[in-house]
Amino acid sequence: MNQPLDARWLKKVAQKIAETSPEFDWDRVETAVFQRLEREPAPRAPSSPAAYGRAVTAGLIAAAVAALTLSVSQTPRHDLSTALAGPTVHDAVPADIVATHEPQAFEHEQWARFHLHAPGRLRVLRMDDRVSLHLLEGKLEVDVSRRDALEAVTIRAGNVRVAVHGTLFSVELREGVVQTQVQQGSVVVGPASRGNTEGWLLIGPSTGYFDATIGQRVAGHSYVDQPLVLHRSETPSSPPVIVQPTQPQRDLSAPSPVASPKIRPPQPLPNALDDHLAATTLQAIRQNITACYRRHLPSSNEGVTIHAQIHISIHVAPDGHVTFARFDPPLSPRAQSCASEAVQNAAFPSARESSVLELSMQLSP
Amino acid sequence: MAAFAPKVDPLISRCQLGDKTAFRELFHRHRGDVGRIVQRMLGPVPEVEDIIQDVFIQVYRTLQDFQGNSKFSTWLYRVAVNTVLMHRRAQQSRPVLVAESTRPVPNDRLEPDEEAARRERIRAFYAVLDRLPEKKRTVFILHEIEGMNPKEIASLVHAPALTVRTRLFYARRDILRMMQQEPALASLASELLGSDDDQPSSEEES
Repeated sequence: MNQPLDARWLKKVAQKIAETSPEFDWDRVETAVFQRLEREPAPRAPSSPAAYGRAVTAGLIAAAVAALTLSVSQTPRHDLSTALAGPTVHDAVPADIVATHEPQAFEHEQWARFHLHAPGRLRVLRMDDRVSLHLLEGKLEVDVSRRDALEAVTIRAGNVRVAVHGTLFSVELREGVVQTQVQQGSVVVGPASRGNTEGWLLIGPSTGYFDATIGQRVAGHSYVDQPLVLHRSETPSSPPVIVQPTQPQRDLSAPSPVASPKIRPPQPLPNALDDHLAATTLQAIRQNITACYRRHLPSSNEGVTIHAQIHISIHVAPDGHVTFARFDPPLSPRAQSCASEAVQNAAFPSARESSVLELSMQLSP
Repeated sequence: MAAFAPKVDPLISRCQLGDKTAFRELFHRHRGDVGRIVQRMLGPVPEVEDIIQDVFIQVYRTLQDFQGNSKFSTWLYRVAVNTVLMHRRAQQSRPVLVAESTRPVPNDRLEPDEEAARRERIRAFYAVLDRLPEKKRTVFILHEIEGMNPKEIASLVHAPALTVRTRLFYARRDILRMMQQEPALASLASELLGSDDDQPSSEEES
């Protein structure tokens, strides 16, 4: 006898799935977990719940600030993993590496080596068990020997994202074009944006050119390739120069325009939103994200505070709903979840076409 | 009035002090639960063991936040669910390879191995689930597959229980609609239920 597909039947299907017991190689998982824990800083010592929010957090924040405030007076290190280690890297302003006249070479935990040509500028977004870099200018050569983790190293250049699969390759950002040369192994290159994007698998030896703005492959680019000569030195040639980033800052104290309550005759829809048309909604997003940050990263009472500067790309559909948003850098998981929800729930004015809005903001406790 | 500090399991207290031997014991005690929830939320994908690792690393990093106000298992589930959701968000930001090997290959040959066929059906069911929006997908898996009640799910996903019920309702409706609209999925549903008498099956008509 036939029955229609209904909820009761669907429940039975789900229960069938639930009956399957997963099988894992627990020895391998355990070994990997505890190897990774060896690289973790010791956890904070717990005290009473009341004191937890004050003394311990203050100490942690002070340590994080000390680790992340990489002033020029501090002796630069060859191994950035030491300088940048810490669980709150995502929450803080990332550090830049600048090669002004001399190339800069550094390594990370002996499984990733980098060589930044001069002139070049590189932003370190993450450097722990994985590495995430943003090439702002110039050419970066990468040698990744680790093969146990998929995409252990990712590099962004313009709107192009290069994900590494254990390989020897270089990325160069020049004249709005990202050139990726792969000598060994393979990399995946695609737009550095969310959603259903397509990427290209480059298997060495090969070269691909990508538009730095839209992240799409460029066919037959004209500039002449240089032979790929990668520096595989075992020790870094010179210590990297670490400076504070120089991201543009907005005056967040300035009030944003508020929509006039006057009744106006119907107006034709704009082709796309701009900062002025979306000002009210952007201001609401700013306030909500600031609240998220404050809620999930309490300030200490000893005068030590952490400021984070983030940039958000918000894609808006013609009907005003947010189709996706990218946070650069992401916040801590809880703050990120809260902030993502704030953006997703935002309602922008309608327009004829989809819009992309950019929002830079500094977060303070 | 005196404040009562929640009592925390001594094992967890030792872990909070950085005792790695204690953390190993914690790992052994809870790895099955973590593995199950990660597997069920992600489906049969190769990176499940990596995500399980990530969950325990995240537990180690944030164990100080656990103060015994809720059951440890609830807190652990929340960490696991959030880790999986972060992984899925990251996956969505990654490009889909334009390569033959990544395109769905029509499975027009019969698998002689019954276990392999069963896995293939489960994979296909998760492919259906992947077409759901993330919030509905999460709620559906936690309720229908993991067996949690809406109140428990609400505490995990930081949403009211009523919202969870609503998402569940729409998740079921969407899945059923997808299956009804595509005969291939309806036949998958029949296969998943095997030889159950009350299964809906178009083949039974013939």
